[in-house]
Amino acid sequence: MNWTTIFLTQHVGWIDPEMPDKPIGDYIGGVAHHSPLNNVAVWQIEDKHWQQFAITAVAENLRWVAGWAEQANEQFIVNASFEKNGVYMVLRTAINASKPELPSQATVYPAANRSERHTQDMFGIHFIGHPDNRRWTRHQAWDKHQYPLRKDFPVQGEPAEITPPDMHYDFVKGYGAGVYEIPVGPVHAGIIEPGHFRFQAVGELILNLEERLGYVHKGIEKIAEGRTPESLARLAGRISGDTTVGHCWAACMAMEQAAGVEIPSRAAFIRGILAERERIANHLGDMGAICNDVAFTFAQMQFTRLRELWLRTHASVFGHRLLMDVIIPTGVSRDVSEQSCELLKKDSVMLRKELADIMTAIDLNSSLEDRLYTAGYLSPDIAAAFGTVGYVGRASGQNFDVRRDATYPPYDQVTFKVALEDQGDIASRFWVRHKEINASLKLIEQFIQLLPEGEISTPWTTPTIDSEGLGIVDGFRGEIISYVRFDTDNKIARFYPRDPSIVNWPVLEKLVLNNIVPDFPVCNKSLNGSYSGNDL
Amino acid sequence: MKAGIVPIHVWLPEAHPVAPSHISALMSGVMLKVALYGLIRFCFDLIDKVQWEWGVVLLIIGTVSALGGILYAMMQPNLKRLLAYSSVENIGIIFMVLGLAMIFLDNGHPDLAALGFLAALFHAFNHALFKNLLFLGAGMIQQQTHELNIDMLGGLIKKMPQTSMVFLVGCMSISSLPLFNGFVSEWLAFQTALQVDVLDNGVLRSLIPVSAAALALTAALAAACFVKVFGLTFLGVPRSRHSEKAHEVKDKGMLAATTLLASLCFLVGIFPSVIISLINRVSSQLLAHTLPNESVLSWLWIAPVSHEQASYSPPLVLSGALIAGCVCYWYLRRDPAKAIRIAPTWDCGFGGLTPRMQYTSSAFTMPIRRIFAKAWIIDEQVNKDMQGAMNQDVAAVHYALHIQDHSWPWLYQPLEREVNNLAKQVGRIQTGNIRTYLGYSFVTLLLLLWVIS
Amino acid sequence: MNWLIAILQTTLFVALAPLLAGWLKRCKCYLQNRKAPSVLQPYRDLLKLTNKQPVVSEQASWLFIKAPYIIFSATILAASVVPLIAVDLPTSASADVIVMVGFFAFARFFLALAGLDVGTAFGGMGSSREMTISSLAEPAMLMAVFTITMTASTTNLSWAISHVLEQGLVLRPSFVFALFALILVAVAETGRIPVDNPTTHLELTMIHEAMILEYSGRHLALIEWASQLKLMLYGVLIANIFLPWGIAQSFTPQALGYGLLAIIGKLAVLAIILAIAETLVAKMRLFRVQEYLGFAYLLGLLGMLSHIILEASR
Repeated sequence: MNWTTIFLTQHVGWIDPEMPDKPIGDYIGGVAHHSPLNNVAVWQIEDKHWQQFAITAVAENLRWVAGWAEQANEQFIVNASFEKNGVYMVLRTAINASKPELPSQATVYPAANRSERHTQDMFGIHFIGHPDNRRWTRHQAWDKHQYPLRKDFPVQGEPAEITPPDMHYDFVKGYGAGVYEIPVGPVHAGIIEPGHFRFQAVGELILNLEERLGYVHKGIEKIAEGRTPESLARLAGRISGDTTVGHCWAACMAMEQAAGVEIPSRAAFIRGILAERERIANHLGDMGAICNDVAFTFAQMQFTRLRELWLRTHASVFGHRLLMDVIIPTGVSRDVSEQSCELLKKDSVMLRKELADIMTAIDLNSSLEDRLYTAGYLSPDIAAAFGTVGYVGRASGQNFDVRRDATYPPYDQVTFKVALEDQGDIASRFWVRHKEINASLKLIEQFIQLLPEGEISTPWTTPTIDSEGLGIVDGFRGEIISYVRFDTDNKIARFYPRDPSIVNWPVLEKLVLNNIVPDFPVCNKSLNGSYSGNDL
Repeated sequence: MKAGIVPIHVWLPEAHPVAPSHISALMSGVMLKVALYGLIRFCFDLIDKVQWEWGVVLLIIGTVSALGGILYAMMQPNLKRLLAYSSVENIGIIFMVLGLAMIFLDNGHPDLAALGFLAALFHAFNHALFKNLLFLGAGMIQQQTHELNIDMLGGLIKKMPQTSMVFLVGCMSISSLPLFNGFVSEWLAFQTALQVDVLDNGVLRSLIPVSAAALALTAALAAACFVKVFGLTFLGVPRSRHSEKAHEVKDKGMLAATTLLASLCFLVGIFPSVIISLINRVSSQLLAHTLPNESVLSWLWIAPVSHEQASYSPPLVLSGALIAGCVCYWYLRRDPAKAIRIAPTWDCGFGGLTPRMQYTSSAFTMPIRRIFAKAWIIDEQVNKDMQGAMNQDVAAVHYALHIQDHSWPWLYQPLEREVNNLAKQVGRIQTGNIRTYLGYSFVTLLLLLWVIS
Repeated sequence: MNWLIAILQTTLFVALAPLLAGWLKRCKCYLQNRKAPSVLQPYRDLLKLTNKQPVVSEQASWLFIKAPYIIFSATILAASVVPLIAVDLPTSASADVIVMVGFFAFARFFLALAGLDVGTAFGGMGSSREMTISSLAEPAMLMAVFTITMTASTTNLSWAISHVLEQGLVLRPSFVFALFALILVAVAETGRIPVDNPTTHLELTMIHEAMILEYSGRHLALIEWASQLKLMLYGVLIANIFLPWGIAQSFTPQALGYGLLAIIGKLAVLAIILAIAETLVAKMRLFRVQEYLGFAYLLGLLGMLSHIILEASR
């Protein structure tokens, strides 16, 4: 008996009496061919209990995971997902489209803040009591009363010639003599993604930092509608270029659940290899970038070299340097031969040896140590409050890993140790990555060893209308949640991917406090949130 | 007391800013010098034999005043208060050099004493020039903008081009940049300090170079301070409506007076020999000594000790600068196709820079404030209005900074409190800070040297 | 004749500065296992910049446009004071080492003002940091210089170098301390790692680059050139004061050529040492700089004290 059942028995009164466990199709008015989310409990409650649920949930130490909405004729269906001890649930309510209002959960969960603002911008749902009702994803690309994810909004949008800059955003102000603002971005001097950072500062002292993201809003959610499963997998692989395997896997997992397709074991193992190789490639890049931001170029060059060699193996074994489109619904598109296995094994041995050499040099360098230790401190409390995931959470003592705590094939067949650090500083986030690389190397070796014979994909079954799936995997940044609901004819009705960056970005505003302005870039790099994954 | 020496300087920055600018100009330029005159009369004239110990006292007081003055000046957002504090600094420098002169005099080097004396008087003269100029400039700014808070100014170089020009000259002189008068006197001061090798006393021989380094620190801080003053007042974008609506001073007399002072600052910087020979007359009366071999080509060079030891030729340097500048200017500006293109300031693509995005006075000096934190009583408060879930959402930030002079509480606290403080200070010896410990060992070393010699 | 050689020497200084920068870059690339650009690359960059149309902010005043020329000229003047291939030239008599430090201050004053002129946060940030670091570096620099000048009892660089040459190779503790102090200061003043990172793209961490963020075209070329010149100047200062052997003491073509070869060799070696140091350390936190420069100051002080206690012959 897991916590959802206990929780349910305690709060049975909240279950919407009119619509007990009613599938989405009923709201839409179609015929209900409902396939429930097979790994996750779905609760439907009345909208008036929405906030009350969150208050109870936070008291029970539930982690707020994701929030999304969709339009169903005259109603908006709003979802929120929670997690505890590796068990997930989805909370669902329906609100009237003529008066789209819902009590805010952001008054309880800091993590829900931006997600609700995103929903507000996309659907025009007003969250009552939300502490911060400024626009978020919405910049100046649409008119005030246009809501892109509503059904009446065209897929192509109605773009103006040039979107005007969103210059009148109401940033938090610093009052008092001597306070000034530093605007940085969205266009940076380096080759990084666009995002705006607004500091309130006095000299080098940071009083407050505010992020302004949304510059790479690509309308992923909108253009996902009406796609075929293959096409959605390709789209998911492009949500955030560095997490192509992670997002693609999550989307495929959701679609496979919805369709009731079980992938062959060999495909699951190959997916595992892909995901771990992606993790290693990105961690190598990040560790190099952290060194580069403190002007330790030597290490950056070495990490870059290792990453490049690693990516070349990707290209030769899987046909794409970043592993795009290797994962497809029903399995994987490329098999690994005996020789490839040997190559992958050799690659791992080589990396382990070379990495050890570099890490010795780094460990002995006191000037680097001075920069990384104690800088950018994120306390475990704040990390928990924001539901921080991935290496950021794990460096601040958040002992959670989807691969272990909500395990899925092939991770259920291997043993591994979740990397954990508790100092919460940049050094912790650096070393947690190093530990994860070593753990991933071991995982890859186990996967290759245990790689079962057989097919790499199975035939696809067209899912029924309104079948839903929730894919939960661990990408290199941490937990990725993908929600998929099918329409008729094998078409996607709604797709919502929650990149780990969405919950990790807000803690950057917290961890730079007590640091000075010139230390911000390395703090940012140690978190390395995805702009594209956040903006969707 | 009247000279405004740390720690009994507190009246000065209170008194000067309240007076109208032309009066404050006189106060800083002339009144402080009266005290100096008294001191010189007393020490070099009335008293028969100068004791070098007094020189040491003057040197130490001067060093403390110079450093303290400029550090306090640095933190002031109010232009006239800043200038008043900078007077403390300059008086400190004069005291330092006078102290050097006394030390040399009593150790049997009247020629070097004359050099120190020259440097001190020259600096007093220079200070009168550029401080008058700066106070008058401040007055012009106040008249046109009704503001003296430099956090409210900005962009005046376009509104008041002539004022900005003369003020720039003042800032360059007071920052002792070459080609301007402040540099010459500071150069002479350094030359005086560097003659320390002739002394026999070990303590003096190590103390004087340290004070010379303190002088260097003072000069560098002064440059930082006046970069702040000129940069925030005249450059950038106006920070308030007043400074946006400012226009050039109409009164010809005001402009003429400041222009005269500015050209004097420059001319004295280029041809210092004229003033040097004037001052030499004073020193020959007081010390019966002038500069050893004042110069070879009198108007072109200054070589205070000998040509081999040090020489400085401002006219040559100026011509060199003009030649180098003009050649590259001419070379690079030949091609009319490459005329300058005017474009909006780079805003990182965000759109819309505002005057709020410029550095402010307390922002500019924040690194200095942090590094020399012990020099002030700093009360810095950051309060945030938090809201939302788990109080994690920032609604507004409030910042308040109060900087107080150490002298205030020190002067006015009763003796009892002082004793208590002392007890605390003793407990504070163990700061755990390596620089402090090094300071202790150095002081101990000095004391030991003293005992030995 | 003397004047001609003096002008020639200064021209040589200006002409060789980009070469030193190119060589330094090459050494760093080798140490990081990278392919290096040609040593002539800085020249190409400067040429490219001078051929571009400069873009100036609409907020900028005349000061912003004139500042590069002022900075460049002041740095050239500082260069004219330092003996490069020959001692006893008239230019080095017109100004001594204190005036040279003054020229640096002059250039920095205008650079910092130019940073404030366009009214952006970055410019102010750079100016504030630069003025802070320089106000700490200047006393340390002068402390080191005073040690040397007291030993040679002159502040004239030419005479000081002649003095060292006359003395021959003597191991003076004061000189060793002063040498290290000067090296530390030189690293800080020329904006090298670990104080500043000249190659960074991160606006918020910049010091020198933040001030010149708005410059382009020939203006940028002049400022870049001036900072290359400054790097070379410190290099020559270190090389010729502490290891003056090889510098021309007479004006025969042979001696001059020999002096030129000697200084090129010395600078090449210094650049290699600098490149190794830059590869080994990360940039330090901004508020560690005062400890770093405090250490430099302390070294200068120790040099001074050891001169006074151990070396002064009285």
